[in-house]
Amino acid sequence: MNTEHFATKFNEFADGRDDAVQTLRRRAIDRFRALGFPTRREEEWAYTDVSPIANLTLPLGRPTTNLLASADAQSLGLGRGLVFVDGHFRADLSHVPSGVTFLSLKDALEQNPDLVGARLAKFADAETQPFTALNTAFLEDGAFLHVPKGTRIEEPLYVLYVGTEKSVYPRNLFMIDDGAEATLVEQYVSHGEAAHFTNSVTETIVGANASFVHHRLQTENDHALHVTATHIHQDRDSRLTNSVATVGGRLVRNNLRAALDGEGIVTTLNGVSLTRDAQHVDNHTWLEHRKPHCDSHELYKGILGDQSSSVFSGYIHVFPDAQKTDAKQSSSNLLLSNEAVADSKPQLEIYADDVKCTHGATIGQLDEDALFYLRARGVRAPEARKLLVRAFASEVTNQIEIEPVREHINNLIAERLPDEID
Amino acid sequence: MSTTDDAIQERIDQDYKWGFVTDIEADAAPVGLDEGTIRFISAKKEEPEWMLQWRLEAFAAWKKMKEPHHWAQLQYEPIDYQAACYYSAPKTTNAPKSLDEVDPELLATYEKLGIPLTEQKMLAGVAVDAVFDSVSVATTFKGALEEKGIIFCSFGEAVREHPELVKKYVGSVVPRNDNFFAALNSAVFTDGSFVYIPKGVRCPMELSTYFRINAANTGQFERTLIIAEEGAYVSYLEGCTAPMRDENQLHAAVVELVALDNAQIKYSTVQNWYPGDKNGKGGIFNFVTKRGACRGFKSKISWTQVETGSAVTWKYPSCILQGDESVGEFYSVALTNNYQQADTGTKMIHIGKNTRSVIVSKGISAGKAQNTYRGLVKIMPKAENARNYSQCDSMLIGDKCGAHTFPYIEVRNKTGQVEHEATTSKIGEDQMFYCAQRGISEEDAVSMIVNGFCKEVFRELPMEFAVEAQKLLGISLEGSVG
Repeated sequence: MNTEHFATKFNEFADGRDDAVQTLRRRAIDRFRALGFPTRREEEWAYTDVSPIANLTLPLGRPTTNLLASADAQSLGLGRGLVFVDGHFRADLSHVPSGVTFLSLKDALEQNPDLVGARLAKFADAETQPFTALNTAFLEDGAFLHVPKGTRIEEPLYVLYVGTEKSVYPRNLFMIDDGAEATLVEQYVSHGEAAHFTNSVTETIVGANASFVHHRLQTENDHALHVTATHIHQDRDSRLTNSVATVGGRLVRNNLRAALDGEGIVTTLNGVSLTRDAQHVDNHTWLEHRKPHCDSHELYKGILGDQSSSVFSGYIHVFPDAQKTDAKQSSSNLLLSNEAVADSKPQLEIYADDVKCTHGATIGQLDEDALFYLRARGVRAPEARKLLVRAFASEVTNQIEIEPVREHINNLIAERLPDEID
Repeated sequence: MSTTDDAIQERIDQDYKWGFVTDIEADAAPVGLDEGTIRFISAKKEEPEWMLQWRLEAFAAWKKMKEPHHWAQLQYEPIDYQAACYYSAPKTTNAPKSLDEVDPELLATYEKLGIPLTEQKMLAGVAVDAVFDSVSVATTFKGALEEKGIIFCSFGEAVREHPELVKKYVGSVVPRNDNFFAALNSAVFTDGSFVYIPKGVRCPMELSTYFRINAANTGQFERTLIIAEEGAYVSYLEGCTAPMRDENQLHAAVVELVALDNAQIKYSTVQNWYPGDKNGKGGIFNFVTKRGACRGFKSKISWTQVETGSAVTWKYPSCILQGDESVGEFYSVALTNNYQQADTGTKMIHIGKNTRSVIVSKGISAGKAQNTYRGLVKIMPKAENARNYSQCDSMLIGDKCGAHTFPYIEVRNKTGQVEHEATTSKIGEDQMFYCAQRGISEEDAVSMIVNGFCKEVFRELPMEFAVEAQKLLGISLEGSVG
């Protein structure tokens, strides 16, 4: 595969640079060259072929000045917040709320190198994960949020990533200190219909007693290639909700790793995806229950039309000391077409005896009885089917507390449903 | 107390020392594995040329393969295949001459299982005449089977007597190059069972290796082939509940089942080989490839297994549901204690229309053991209205063990309905309290609760097996509580 293309790009990118993170980048590109792109022979990539990414020759996203007007940016985003175009911060399009340390990572590195440097790349594994290594090699900009101890931010914070014909490597760092609370909405959209590649890495550190709600909306165009890695580290008695909605993209892979590293933690992971045509969406989650008395809830749902495919792999690891763990995982897929392909791999690895761990996985089609019920009440078959599909998704979307976000996802699902569901 | 313990320990050690200092008799193959070994085995078994060629091709494939060491949730030292002896006479000269010489701990176990004295001798490997009773039983049954046209004999005999059947079916379900251990088995298998049930015949009794003395001690590389013609039915029992005296460390068996139109095969296994001592020393490595092909319309293959023995178990009895409306079932209880490791499960490959499969797996892990369920349910594009239900429950006893579940679900047809459920639990303190209150000892209570946990699987076992299996679980769990 085309590992060398990326290495060449790196040399152009890194040439002449000499900032604090340069050592990190050098190490990461070396690791990436050693690892190469994952192949389907590797267990974690058995269902996803990354060759469309490996064969990419897209130019690296550089800072833009006049691409996209302010009005466009606003119409794309659900709320006002940080705006990134081709992976780079656009101050002119952004609205930075006051009273919060919420800014671009590049600026944060300049303004407060000690605070950022202490946490950056501490949890994202660039040693064994090729895409995380690649992201780290091109690490330059992204969103940075720091909520200091005991601070509560009422209003949701918004981050918007707009992609155009480029390869971009956004890097987010979210630090929610002890007892702090925040909600963040991260949106990925396309400008135009051209293919573009996003490889993002997010590190989230949630302190003791803190609470963080993180929504990720992936609504790029149908040619977009998208690989993400979210690394979560939670301290005792913290609460975290991560919800991912994937509607766009030709090839999407979401990796999520959460370490529950303290007692009394509650972690909720939700995901919904709607795929059509030849879209492929792959959600991989790894949950580490390291300490006793933690709860985790996972719910992933996929709706598949046409020749699309989806993968869910959920891994729950309960450490020997993590007694009284309560881990629930559930994944369901709804197949709307005979050519759609669904693969599911829920996994439990348990080393403690006093735990409650369950996983459930179902793959099936619309319930004929429910359909009959609706048709008997005069709802036409196509409408009834759409209704049932939306009901299927609503178990996930109804958990989204921010109304515009919830509505947006529901509408997108309704809009993008194939016209003819049989 | 400690002196008797020491004495017992000594006996156990001694027993296994015998196993490895094989006093090689005249007709044993030299240590090591090459083409010569295979020619030797084939010649010893008086096999026709085609069988030898078949073995050699398997050996050629095996040489190109690597031992699968990375994916299973198992840890063991790499096996030295050149250090093993691949063919030796069934009986060693230093077999115990009477029950007095047998390890008393082993005898106590037999007692608890309620095994008759003659069978105890047989199982303990006591040589000579005590087993004649069983042989006569076996011959009586053989007559009844022959009357119906059923062929039930050792694999070696089948190669000589029924080459057309063996040729047609051997390797057709588990190809020689299927996996490392299947290839090894195909090259060096020594014996096993062969069953052929003709069209429309319902086998009048449970076929069991239990009665089949001539093919008992078949050694490490067993090969079983069962063919059920149109409308035939057979229930086959493998292994037995009692701990077997066994001298081989590596077992790599292959079992192939073929069910044609409306045929039904029920295959039950109870495996209780030496699991190693309490510190994880010794024990059998059990790498088995079991697969059944439901080739015919409405055919059915049902696997039931109770796995309590072996230090390492690597076993995935599978069903290929080719025929329309065919049914596959897998019921499993896997119990691991001390340092035992089990990575077991099934594969259900739905190819035909309206195919159905059920998976019920119960894993019990105690001591420092690791117990893994690994399974695949695959619905192929042409498998309209396929249906699968899987349930994997794990129970942990103690906080040093592990229980793992790795199901793979691959659906390629929208009419497929697949459900998978897994739970993990422990024995509740309130359950124990309830039993204690009613005067039930701790060990009896555990055994009772575990048996309740496994009830769905035991129900599938033939009656006499089920009774023994229940007792067996109790014995295997001894010392795991408190």
